[in-house]
Amino acid sequence: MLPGKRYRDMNNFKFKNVVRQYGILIGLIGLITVFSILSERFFTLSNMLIVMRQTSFVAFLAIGMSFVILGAGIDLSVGSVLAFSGAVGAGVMQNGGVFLGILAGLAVGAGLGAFNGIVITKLKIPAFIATLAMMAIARGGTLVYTDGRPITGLPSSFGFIGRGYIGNIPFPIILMFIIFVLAYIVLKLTRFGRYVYATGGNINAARASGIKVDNVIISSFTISGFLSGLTGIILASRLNSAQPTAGMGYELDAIAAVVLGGTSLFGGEGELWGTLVGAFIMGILNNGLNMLNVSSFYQQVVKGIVILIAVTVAQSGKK
Amino acid sequence: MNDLALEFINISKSFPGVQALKEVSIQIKKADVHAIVGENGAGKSTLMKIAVGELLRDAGVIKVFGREAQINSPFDGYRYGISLIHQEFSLVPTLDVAQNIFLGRELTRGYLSFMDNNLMYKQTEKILDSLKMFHLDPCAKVKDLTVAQKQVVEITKALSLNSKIIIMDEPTAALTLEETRRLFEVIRELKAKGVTILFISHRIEEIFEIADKVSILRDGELILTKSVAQINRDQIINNMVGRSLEFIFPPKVKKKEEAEVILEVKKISKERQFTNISFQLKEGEILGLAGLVGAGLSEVALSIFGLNHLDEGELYIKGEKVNINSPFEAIRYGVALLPEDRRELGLVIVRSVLENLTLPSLYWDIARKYFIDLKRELSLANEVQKELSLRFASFSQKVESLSGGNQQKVVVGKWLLTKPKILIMDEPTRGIDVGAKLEIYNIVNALAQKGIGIIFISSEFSEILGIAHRVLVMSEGRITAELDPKNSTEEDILKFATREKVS
Repeated sequence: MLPGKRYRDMNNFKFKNVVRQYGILIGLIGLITVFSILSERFFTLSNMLIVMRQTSFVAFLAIGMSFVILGAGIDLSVGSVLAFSGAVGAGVMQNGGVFLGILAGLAVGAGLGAFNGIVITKLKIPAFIATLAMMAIARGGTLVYTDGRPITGLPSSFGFIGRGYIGNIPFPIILMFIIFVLAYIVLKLTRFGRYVYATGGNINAARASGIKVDNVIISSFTISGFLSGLTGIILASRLNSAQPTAGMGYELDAIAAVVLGGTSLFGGEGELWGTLVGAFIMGILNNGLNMLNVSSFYQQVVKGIVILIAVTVAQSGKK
Repeated sequence: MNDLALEFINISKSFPGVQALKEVSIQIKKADVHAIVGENGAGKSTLMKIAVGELLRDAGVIKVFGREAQINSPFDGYRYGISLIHQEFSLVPTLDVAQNIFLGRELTRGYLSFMDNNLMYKQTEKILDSLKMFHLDPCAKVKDLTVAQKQVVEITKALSLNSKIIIMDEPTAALTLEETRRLFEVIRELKAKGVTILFISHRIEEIFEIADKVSILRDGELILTKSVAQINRDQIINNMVGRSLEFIFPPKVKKKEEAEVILEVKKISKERQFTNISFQLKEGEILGLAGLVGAGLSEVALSIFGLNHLDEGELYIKGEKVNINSPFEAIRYGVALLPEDRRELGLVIVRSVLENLTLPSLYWDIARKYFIDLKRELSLANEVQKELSLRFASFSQKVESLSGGNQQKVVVGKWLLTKPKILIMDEPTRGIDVGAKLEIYNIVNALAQKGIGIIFISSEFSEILGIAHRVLVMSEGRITAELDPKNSTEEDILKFATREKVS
C-alpha cells in the first residue's frame, strides 16, 4: 500500500466524521441560541419542558423509524398505526380496564409492524409500497373502528401516561428517555443491533455472514410498529380521547428527524442520539416559531427549508 | 501504409502500484479481424479502453487511418469511429432495441423536435437486415434478449454510429457454441463490409477460426504480433504464459499422509452453470480449482456455501450427508467462503473493521445470549489482527477506507473467527497488489497447516500451480482434468480449461 494513500485515509477518517456526526448538534445549539435571543420566554425551564413533551411524540416514532431506516427500509405507516392502536386501546379500555387497553394498543401496533415486515421480506414488496399500503389500511381501519368519531370517556387513571408528572417532569419525557436508553442499548450492545446495521449496510454480505436477514427486517418493523402503538396510547391519554385523525403526517416528521440526525437513507450508517437531536430540532422549530407568532403556514415552509439545509451540510461533510 | 485502420505507438499506462502497459505498439490493418490475447491482467482491456478514450494513456500516440488521433475522452472514440463492446453491456434493459440504439441521440423532426420513431425503427431494421442474421425485432425489449442477441444490439449500435473499427472484449465468454458460431458469421460479414474488428478472447480455438492476426500481451508488454497462419496453438499459449514469474511462491506445506476426508462433493449439478461435479477435500489440503471466466467455478463455490441451490447431487462433511441451504447452515458445518466479489458479498464496507471481523461469529461465540461480550470481541479481533498482520488505523475505521489487500484480510479474519474446517477462497488475490498477494499465500499455507481444508479458486494458473496440492480444471461447467502441480504446467491447465464440451 502506498504511504501517501494511507495517510490520506486516516485524515479523512477523523475529520469528515467529526463534521458529519456533530454538525447536527451544533445546529441544535444554534437554533436554541437564535430563539433565545428573539424571544425571552423561549429559554425557560417551563417552556423547555413543554418543548420536550411535544417532541416526545415524534421522538418515539423516530426511534422506531431509526431501526427501520438503519436496516435500509422506510416505514410510512407509523402515523396510521398510531391512530389505530390508540383507537383500539381506547376501545378495549372502556370495558376491559386501563391495563388491558394499553396492552391491546401495543399489541395492535407491534402486530401491524410485524405484518409490514413479513410482507416486505416474504412477499418481496419494497418497504415504501408495503408501508404505504399499510398507511391506508390502518387509517381506514381506524375510521371503521371509530365510525369516524373520537372515542371518549376513558378512565381517569389512564390520564397519567400522557398528562402526569413525576416530580416536576412530565411523564412522557421520562418515558422518552427510558425508551431512548433501551433502544440505544439494543442497537449498540446486542447482536440484534449489529445485525440491523449490517443488514442495512449490505444485505448480501449480511446474509453471507450467516445472518437471517428476514428476521432482522421483520423485527425492525415490529419495533417501529410497537413504538407507534405506544405513541398512540400516550397521545390518547394526553388528549383524553382517541382521535381517528391522530398522527396524520407524523411519519414525515419522524423520517425528517432521523434524516436530520445524520442517518443514511441507504441504511447501515447513523447514530440514535442523532435521531433524538433531530426530533428536538423539529420540536424546537415548532415551538420557537409559535412563540414568534409565525403563521403555521409559514412554519411548514421554514421546516422544509431547515431539512434541506441540514441534509446539504451533512452531505458536504461526507465528501 | 495507408491500409492501417488503427495504430498504437508506444502506449504506456500505469495505475497506482502497477504498470499496466509498457510501450505497446500494434498495427491493425483495415478490414482485418485482429485478436488480442493474454492472461488476466495482461493489459488487454486497458489497451482497448485507451483506444476509445475511456482511459487516458500516460504516453504514446494513437493513429486512426493514418492520422494521429486526439482520443482523450469517451466521446472521442465515437468521433473517430471506434466502438468498444464491453463484457458488461451498456444497454438499458427496459427499453427496446431501437430505443437503445438511438439512446442519447434520438432522431427528431419538426420545430418541436418530437422523436421520429418511425425513422429510428426503420434505420434499426435496415442495419439489422444488412447483417442478415438473428431475426431481431427492433421493438423487442432488451431485457428479453439472450446474451448473444444483446451483443448484436451493441454491434448494431456501433454500426449506426458509423463505426469503422469495432472492439469486442471477450464477446464469446457467455455464449453457447451455437451462439458463438452465429456471432462469427456476423463478424465475417462486417469484415466483408470493410469494418475492422479487434477481438479479445481467452479461447485459443476461436482465434484460429476467426482472426487474421494475433497480438499477444503479457504483463503489459507486447510479446508479438503475427499472422494467424504463421503461428500455432502451443506457441500462443507459451507466449501468453511466459516464464517470467515475478514473485516466488512460499514453499508448500506438506500434506498429511493420513488426512481425513472432510468434504465430499458428489455429482452436483445446476442447470446452465455446472454439471456432474465430484471431488473430495482432505484435512489440511489445498485443492486448486482452475478455469477461465465463466467456467462455473464461483457457482460451485456458492453452492457449497448455501447461496446457490443445487438441482442435483449431494454434499458430505466428515462423512455425514448434509443439506446446506443457507450460509447460516454452512457456518454451522464449518464451511466459510471468501467470495469473489468481496465488496458485494464479503464486507459491509460502511461499517467498521471490528464489526466486519466479528459479524459471522457473534451468534456462535461472542454474543451467544443476545448481548455482545465487548471484551471478548476486542480480544478475539486483536488475535486475528496479529495472526494476519492486518494494518489499519483503528478498529473503528470503516472498511471502505482500507486497501484491497487489507480488505481481503478482513474477510479472511472474519471467517477465521468462526473456526472453519473448510475454507473456500474464490479469486482471493484478484485486485490486490503483489506484496499483499504474497501475504495471502502465506496465510493460506498457515491455515492448511492448521488442518483447514482449502478450496482455492483462481483463473491465474501460475498461482494455482504455486499454491495447490492438487488441481482440478473446469471448462464450461465440467471438470475436465485433475492435475498434479508438481509435473504440470500452465499450458496443461490452459489446454484443459479451454477444452470444448466433449459431449
